[in-house]
Amino acid sequence: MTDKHLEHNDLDAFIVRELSRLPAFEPSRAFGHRVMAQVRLPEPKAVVALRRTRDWVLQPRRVLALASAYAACAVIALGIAAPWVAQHSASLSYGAGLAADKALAAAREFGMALAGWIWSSRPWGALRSAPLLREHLVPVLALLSASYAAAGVALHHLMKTPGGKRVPIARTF
Amino acid sequence: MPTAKDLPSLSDQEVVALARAGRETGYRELLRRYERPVFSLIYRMVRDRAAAEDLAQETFIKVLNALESYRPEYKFSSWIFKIANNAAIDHLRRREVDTLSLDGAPGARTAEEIEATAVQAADRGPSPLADLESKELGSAIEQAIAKLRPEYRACILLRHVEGRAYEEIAETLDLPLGTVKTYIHRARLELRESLDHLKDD
Repeated sequence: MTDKHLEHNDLDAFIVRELSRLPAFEPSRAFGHRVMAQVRLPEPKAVVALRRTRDWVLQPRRVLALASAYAACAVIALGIAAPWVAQHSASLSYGAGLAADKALAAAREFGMALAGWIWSSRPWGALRSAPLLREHLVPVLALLSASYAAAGVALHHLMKTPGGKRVPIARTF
Repeated sequence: MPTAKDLPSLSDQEVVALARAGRETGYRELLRRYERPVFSLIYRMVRDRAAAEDLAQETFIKVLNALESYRPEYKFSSWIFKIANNAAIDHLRRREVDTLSLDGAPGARTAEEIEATAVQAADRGPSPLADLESKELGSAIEQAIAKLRPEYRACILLRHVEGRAYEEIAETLDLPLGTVKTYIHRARLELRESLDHLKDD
């Protein structure tokens, strides 16, 4: 190998080494945010299916067809059921009365059992035996009212937006 | 499902699968992994920071919005570098056309005039980055890279700066393997000629 070859090989190795040492450049800080702002994140499959179904259903002709089919089904069901109901009206009203009586009796029994349990429970006993004086009445009522108001405010706040945060709703259906 | 802590240890394919499942962390991880290599490649190709940033942004938006069409049997890096390189080459072509029209191409009627305009475009002065008056070796190499033809430049950057295999470069640039090897060989020859003066220093 000649001196010239050696020189070339040295220079080649030098160039390759220096190329591999070149620094990586970095884009500006906002680069990532700018990219992510324009990326469409995929929706969950259930949401996609729901939206597709809704889009399919909400086309005017299909809405009309579905409504007509629903109405036809209702009319047919009524047409079949009405003569049968008329034929068995006596036994049906007897059965309905019986069921209502049983339900009322069960509700009454449950109410009595609940009242008995409350009456005999320890907290109720403590409350009954507590020396409740007239001067205690106002603070107790004020405390109850304040608790009720706080619960109302909290409930209102929680129901306004998910998690109680003022966030825009991203997806509308 | 992997957590945010596991992300750096996952392969590109696994991170893409996460992103496809709708996990935003997957998208952010891909961005974190490739923002510097992609931006560096484009920056060294177009040698204009603002344009490089726009092109890198365009590349990422295109890639991340088309993850559904990504085929996992190919390397993700090949795919993103291919889109980045195409964006850079398109930009260079557009810039070339703009320069031609500014340099008097509309007035060029004869073959000689057209040729003269083409020479003007090819002999365009160094770009802002190459203009940096630094005597550091890095700058000399950067300027030598800047003088290479865009296809040589892409090959040499992917091979020696990004450390990609010849096969991956061929896949990325849609070139036959032999052509890639030839381009890299010629690019090194040109770099050697450009940097020959350093031998005497």
